[in-house]
Amino acid sequence: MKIFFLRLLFIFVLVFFEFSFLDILFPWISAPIVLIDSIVAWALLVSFPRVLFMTIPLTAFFDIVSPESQGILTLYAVLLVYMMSFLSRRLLLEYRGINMALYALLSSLGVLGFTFFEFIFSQGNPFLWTKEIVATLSFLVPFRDVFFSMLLCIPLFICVYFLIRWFEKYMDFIVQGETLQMK
Amino acid sequence: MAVRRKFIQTKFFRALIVFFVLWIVLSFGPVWILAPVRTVVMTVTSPFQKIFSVVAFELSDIYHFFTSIGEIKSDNERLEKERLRLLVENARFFDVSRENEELRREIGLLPRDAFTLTSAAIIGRDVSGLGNWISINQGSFGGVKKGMSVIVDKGVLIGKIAEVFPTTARVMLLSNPESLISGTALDTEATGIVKGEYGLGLLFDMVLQTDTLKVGDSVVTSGLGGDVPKGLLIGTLQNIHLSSDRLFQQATIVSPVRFDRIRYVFVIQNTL
Repeated sequence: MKIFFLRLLFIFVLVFFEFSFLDILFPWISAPIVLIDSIVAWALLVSFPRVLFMTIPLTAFFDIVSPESQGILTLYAVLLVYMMSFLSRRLLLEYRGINMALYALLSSLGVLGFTFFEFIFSQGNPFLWTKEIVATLSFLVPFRDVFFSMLLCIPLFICVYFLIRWFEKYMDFIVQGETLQMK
Repeated sequence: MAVRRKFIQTKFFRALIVFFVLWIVLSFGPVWILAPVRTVVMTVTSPFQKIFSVVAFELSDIYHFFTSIGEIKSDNERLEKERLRLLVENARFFDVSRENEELRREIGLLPRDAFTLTSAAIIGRDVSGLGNWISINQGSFGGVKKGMSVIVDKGVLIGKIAEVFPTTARVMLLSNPESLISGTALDTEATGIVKGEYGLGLLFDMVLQTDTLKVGDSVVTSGLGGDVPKGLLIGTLQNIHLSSDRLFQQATIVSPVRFDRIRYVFVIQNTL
């Protein structure tokens, strides 16, 4: 029970750090970058099916809080987790030094991906798009904001990665403590 | 020897299944389940939101203080000119205002700009959908209701209350494409619909070709068809052009406030 509440509290903190802190401090950002960083970090630290147990509640909670999101982040999180899991197992890089920069870069590409994913899913059936709609959408995507969001995502990823690593270690420690007590 | 897994045992298959199950739940899931969940979540977490937003605004203020030092001199010169112009204008308007009050009293109209206001601080912003939503720290316990107008300063409209929770509420900004408000140009009295353009700005639309639009003219709420009181400033007109079907005139509206810099707002509860 303690683990459940600690995980829930951690999710609360991440979501409201995004919603009530980062989005106010940087109103131009075009995607929930802390959450995208968290998804990538979890995908690197935890095995594929297990990672969904943290990322889906995280993104679903953000989608509940955010009125315009319509579950888009939750759907995107599944794809992002799979992609990161796929890439990290094939790249076989250690999570330190210059390799971390590569993962931070992948995370910032995740921000770019989210922007396009959001446009595709929030503007109705993309198969019915006319030339005018595509032209309007390409005008509406604020490329400058997306670029700066991607830049901001890189240093944030490093912080979020170490925070989540510390959190997961702490959770393991608590689980271990509880198991030993039972014995 | 490598073990060959079946397709249904692969990560890709599991990811696909999870994706499509979630998609179906989100597409066809009943909306009424989410509403009480959202109310509970927003109420329970409002202290978190307040703490985070206060820290964010303080940091933002410090940042703007340091970045604006270079602009202080030019701003000072501009404001001094503006002050002189406003002094002259104020003297002229004082006389007109007194005359207006007397006339309103004679014909039995209520005094203008007399609202019951509730002050509120912004505690959240939504980046999804290009940031056309803000959350405020007043809700149904403070008398806030859906549809009430939200203003800053002395009557600059920024949006309407779209969703109310016990201790918080959500404001749909004018820049939201779903926001539609009837407006009137002050000088020419041209009427039209003010609507958002996906967070990029405001558009004065559906103005008849027989009406006249003037660049720099102020647009105010007309008070027609809704809860928005008459006479709230929306912005000034710029860039007049015809609509794509050439039936109506359109113009972009520049709001005097930057939606991303607002920290406190007022909710108009009712007009006195």
